[in-house]
Amino acid sequence: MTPNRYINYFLIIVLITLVIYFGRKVYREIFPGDYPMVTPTAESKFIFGENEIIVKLSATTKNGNIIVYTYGPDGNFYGMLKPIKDLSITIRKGDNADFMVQVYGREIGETSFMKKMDRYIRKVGMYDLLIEAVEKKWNYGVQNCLYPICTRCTDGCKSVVSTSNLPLVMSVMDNGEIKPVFRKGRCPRCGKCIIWCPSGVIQKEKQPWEK
Amino acid sequence: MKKINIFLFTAIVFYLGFIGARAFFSGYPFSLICYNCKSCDSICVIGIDPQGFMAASVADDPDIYIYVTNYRIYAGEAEKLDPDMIIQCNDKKIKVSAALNEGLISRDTEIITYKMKAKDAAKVCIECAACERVCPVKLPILDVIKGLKNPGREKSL
Ligand code: SF4
Ligand code: SF4
Ligand code: SF4
Ligand code: SF4
Repeated sequence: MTPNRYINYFLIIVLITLVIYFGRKVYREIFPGDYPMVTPTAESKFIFGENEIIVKLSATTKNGNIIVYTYGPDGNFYGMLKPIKDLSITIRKGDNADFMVQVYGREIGETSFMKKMDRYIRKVGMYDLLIEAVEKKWNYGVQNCLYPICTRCTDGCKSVVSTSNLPLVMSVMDNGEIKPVFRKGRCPRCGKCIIWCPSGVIQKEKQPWEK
Repeated sequence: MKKINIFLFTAIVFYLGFIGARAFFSGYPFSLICYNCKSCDSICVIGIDPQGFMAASVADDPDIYIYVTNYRIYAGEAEKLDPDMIIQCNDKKIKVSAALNEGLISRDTEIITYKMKAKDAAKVCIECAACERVCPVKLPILDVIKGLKNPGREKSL
């Protein structure tokens, strides 16, 4: 190989690198300068039937899906993402949980996802678990926030606030729902959580004149 | 021998150039960097194989079918989206239109998807960004997804 050929190869590599570098879109975001506000989940009514559970909702969600959750005998949070049709969800026998989150009081532990590609690693029937939850008075319900599938708000917040004491943390509510809790004082109003939240649970705080 | 080498070299250069040009015209040339490591597809809860979005950009074709193996949707809506969408029905992989015609399901049945067009997969993606987080080369997968969701935003795709 002559040195010329090496130069040609080098130039081709440089050209490809430049094309990729300049072809990549610049990531632009507009930060609104408002405090975030965590919106409440739609109200729900569970109707238990022989082979299915119908959940009636007071409102739909931004992407037409909602998490149905229940606690299990181990005290952990089990959930699945369900589509909403005509303001209702149907849970049938054979519907399996998508994930499990370890819960310690208000704190959250490890998460495990039950399905990898097209097979379940562990099958937990949501219908049976919900029936047991009613009998044993464990928490169950629906949740607008897509946690643990999504962690965008806290990820965004961590990239802005360099302290372990974040203004936005995931917490377990009294009804067992898991959603972000916001503490105003520490928030520099970067707006990342508002822009990044795909479910619309985090919105910009309404000003007194907007209420 | 030399002629064959020159011919093969030219063919390879043209082929690579063609792939590069298509990726460039899709608006996402960085998708060429995806090396199909499969880190992203095991993380998506709704079973999307995000590498499929990269393949759609490389081919500049939003209609290629990609895996979406755990998305729950009503059959009527799936049919509206794409009658040729492949779904999982009684352990079989079948087109949603065929399952409806054969009476295996009704339009009100909640089904689980298997394969759908990249542009439809982008519509059902919940934008959780889990795939982006695990991508070893930090590809902005969500940009491609958003481009497929709103085709007007981009020149192509
Ligand atoms: S600092 Fe955190 S909580 Fe405050 S706006 Fe930014 S991401 Fe949201
Ligand atoms: S970004 Fe939105 S959906 Fe995701 S975890 Fe935060 S509040 Fe929930
Ligand atoms: S952003 Fe979309 S494709 Fe990526 S992991 Fe989330 S749902 Fe799956
Ligand atoms: S993780 Fe990144 S490099 Fe790997 S297959 Fe997915 S998009 Fe491609």
